[in-house]
Amino acid sequence: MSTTSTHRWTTVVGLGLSALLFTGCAGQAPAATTAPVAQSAEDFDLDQLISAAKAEGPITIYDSTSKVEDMAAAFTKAYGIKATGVKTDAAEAIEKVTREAQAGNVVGDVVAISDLPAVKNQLLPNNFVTNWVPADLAPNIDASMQEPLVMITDPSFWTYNTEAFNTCPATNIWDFTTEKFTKKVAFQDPVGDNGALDWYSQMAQFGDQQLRDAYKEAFGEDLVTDKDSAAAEWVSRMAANQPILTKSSEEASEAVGAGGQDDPPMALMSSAKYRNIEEKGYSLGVCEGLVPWVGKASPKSLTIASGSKSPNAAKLFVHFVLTQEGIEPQISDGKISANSSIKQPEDAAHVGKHLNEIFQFDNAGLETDWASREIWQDLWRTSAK
Amino acid sequence: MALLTPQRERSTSAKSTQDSPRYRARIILRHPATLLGVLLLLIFGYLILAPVISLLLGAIQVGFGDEAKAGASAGTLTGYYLDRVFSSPVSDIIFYTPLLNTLWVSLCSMLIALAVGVPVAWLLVRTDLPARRWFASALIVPYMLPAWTFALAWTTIFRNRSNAGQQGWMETLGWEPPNWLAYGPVPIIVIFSLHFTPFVILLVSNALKNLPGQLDEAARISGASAQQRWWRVTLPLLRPALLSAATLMFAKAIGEFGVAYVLGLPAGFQVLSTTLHQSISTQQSGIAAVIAAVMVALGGISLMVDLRFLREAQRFTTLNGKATLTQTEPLIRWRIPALAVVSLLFTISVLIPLGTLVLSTVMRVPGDFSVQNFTADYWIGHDLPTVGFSQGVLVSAATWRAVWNTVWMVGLAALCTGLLGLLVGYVVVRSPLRQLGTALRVITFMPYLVPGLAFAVAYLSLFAVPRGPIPALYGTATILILIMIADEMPFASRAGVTAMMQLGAESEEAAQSLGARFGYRLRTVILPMVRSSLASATLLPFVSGVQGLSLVIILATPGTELMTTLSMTLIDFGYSHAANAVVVMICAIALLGTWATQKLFRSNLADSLG
Repeated sequence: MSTTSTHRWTTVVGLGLSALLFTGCAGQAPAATTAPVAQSAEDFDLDQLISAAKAEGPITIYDSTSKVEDMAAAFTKAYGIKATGVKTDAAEAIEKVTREAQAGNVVGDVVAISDLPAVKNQLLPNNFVTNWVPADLAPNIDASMQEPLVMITDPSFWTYNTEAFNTCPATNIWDFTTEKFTKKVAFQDPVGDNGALDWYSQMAQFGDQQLRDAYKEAFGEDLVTDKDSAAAEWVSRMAANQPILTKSSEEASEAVGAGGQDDPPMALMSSAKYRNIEEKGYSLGVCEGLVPWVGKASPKSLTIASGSKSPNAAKLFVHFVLTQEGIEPQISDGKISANSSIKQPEDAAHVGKHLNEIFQFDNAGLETDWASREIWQDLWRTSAK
Repeated sequence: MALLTPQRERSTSAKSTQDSPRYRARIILRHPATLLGVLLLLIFGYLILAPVISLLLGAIQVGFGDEAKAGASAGTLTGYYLDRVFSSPVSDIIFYTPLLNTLWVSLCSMLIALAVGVPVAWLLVRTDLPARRWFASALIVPYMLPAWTFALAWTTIFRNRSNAGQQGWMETLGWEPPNWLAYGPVPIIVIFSLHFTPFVILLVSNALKNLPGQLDEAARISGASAQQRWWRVTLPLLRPALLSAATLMFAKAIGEFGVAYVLGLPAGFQVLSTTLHQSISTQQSGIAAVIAAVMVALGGISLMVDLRFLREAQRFTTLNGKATLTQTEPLIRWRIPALAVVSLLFTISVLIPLGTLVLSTVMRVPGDFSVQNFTADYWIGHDLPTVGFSQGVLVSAATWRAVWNTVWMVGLAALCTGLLGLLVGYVVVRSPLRQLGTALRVITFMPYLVPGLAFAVAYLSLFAVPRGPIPALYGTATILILIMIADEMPFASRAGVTAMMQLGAESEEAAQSLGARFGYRLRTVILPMVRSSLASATLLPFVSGVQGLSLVIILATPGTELMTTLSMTLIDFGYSHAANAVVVMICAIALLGTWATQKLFRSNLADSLG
């Protein structure tokens, strides 16, 4: 009897330990799945989609803003399908979507993720999420915003303190690299921020000529650089000009806009922070006419989890947030819908007025963005003084 | 009913002439501590070992989405991350410089904390310092405040124009603090020292109280001066306590993130925990894993040094007999200066930081001390202009939800931690299989060495999906409670071992020979006897759980918001008044919890350090 019980114990302990090792490995190594499924709908019928959606169960939506709760509630009100919005930031959403797909236990049916390179290079190829563009709305959505589908873009503006200055102290984006702006630009620390790195990469791919033209306008001569692009030269000079590094747009808005400053810095900040004019009495103004762009707009993608148990309800939600009614909670503070037929409401930063002066991302660059993040990080780190 | 079972167990204590390995094995297996030990090993294997292993594996396995960079498919082994961290053009920036910074900042703050803490502990325990009982509690307060609150208070007072924005208090008073004082290593070291000094005071006062009086007495009779007795008798006897205080502080300083994040960034001052945060926030999990592994290794090395010295020291302390009451040293003309020094420490480490924090919640514009600038709106106001949080902190439902979540989740986690700690202690002290106890001690200490951020990421990966019989835990309160339990085990198991060592085996054996089963003995004999130790073992996890941030910030969801995550959400919105008010409430809860435990169970924080 004693031998069997000893034996039993060894087995139990052994099993326990091997189970541990197994879970340990499974935590990191993901399994590759089948190729992506192409989605298109030539003969799109909204009514058919609505009736199919109503036959399905409730849906859950992941988005990085708490406004998703209002959007889900509005969807439930409009169609009678229960929807739950869960505030989940990009990194979390990617992690959750990946693990849920691997386990075959999909919780988030619709996912809005601002990290487009990750969606394009990680979630779509592994078929964890599916891209679906409503055919009836597709003509209003720029081709560069369809793969993956962009829900909104989040504009940021070069901003100055309207209390200390009558007009914007800069006229050209290259001004920020000069001595006049040494220690006078508040800048989100790019080594911890994917959005900034992708912006550099996008400028290098799609804004090179504009940056070179702007350089000539600022300094009266052609840009000569040993870097790969004008953007790389600009980033490198920015890093060397000792910007005030901030952890968030909120900090930047305080650095620029707080009252009683003699010589406040300028900063690139999200349009949503212009609400601080009202809330906190900050003095913030968009740097009108800055060459070549007064700001940039970062996209947020909207995809459907491939393993969703309510695919039609999920599609209907995607359709819903591409309409004026569905996206209202997000565009009311200055976000821009990808559907160009939607009317931009008035906001504190007057986004509608600047739509054509903002640098827009192009989905065609997403592979390069993904592959070059470390390169941009390293460029910033090695150029900083 | 209980008559049948004890027959089997009784063989444990029964002496037998049989000495074959098989017989020994049978004894080992029949002891309830063995079964309990294996069970605990499984629990902690799941809660601690599995996440740690999965974290460390990330350093040598190709992560998801890195296939192109590493030139291999996900999950295969790679040296890419090691290369990038240790021998790439940016190694200096992302690794070696932060490593050096981490080491010297941790060392400096450790030395300062010892230099301040040891004399103060001596003053509190061995002298006739006025109000020493009161100071003994009051000086511990900084340990109950989250370290990053000191950083917030520091920037409120000392921030300067190099960061633009609102003025610091010093600036409004007409003096602009220089950069080295406002940001970077100096404030970080000062804050670490302030935060760790109470820890030294706790450990050293405990050791001083337990020191045998005879040696000191003998030296006194032999004509040694007070100075000689301190350097030649007391200090050598304190060596074990000093060493463990030093290593525990060192290991904690390596992982501390919030302070370096708030004060380091404006000065471009990087430590390992801030580069770890950068890699986590840009989804470079492989790089993060390598850096986390280095941090774990550093903590592990310092711990091994500690153990080695301790083993030598033990030979020397076991000479002592029972402790006797030691005479207090009269301070005579030094009484007033000593009181002044201790009061100064209290002012700097408690009054100023807490006062700054409280004041910042009642002033509209920071630094403007005119009467009309003061308001109670941020506490009890309605319809404030801050749209995202338009009610005062005390009248907002969101605050009370977070308070309730914090109290029940942290309370439950602390209770579980305390119980598990005692069970670990039971196995370590009673199990005939020594290796079982050692394995448990090592595993339960691991979380102390793993940076909270990295630990939380590992938890997210492991528990976001169902595994075997356990459902997906992300978004539930369970995952928060589990990770809090795991993270607080180090001290709880130390306290458990200490408590069990003090508990003689006789009473339990008596109950056993009367036929009481293990479960019954646990309930009626062991637990009641260690009730006060259990309260102590619960107290420290509660205090540090209430203020813990890095552990829960990734895992908390809107439904499971805690007070610390609420204050971070408010900081993200830029509502610093409300954020600071929530922090003040966190401190209040930690203090209240400590006070209540002390009153109810007559236990104290010092006991929970084990």
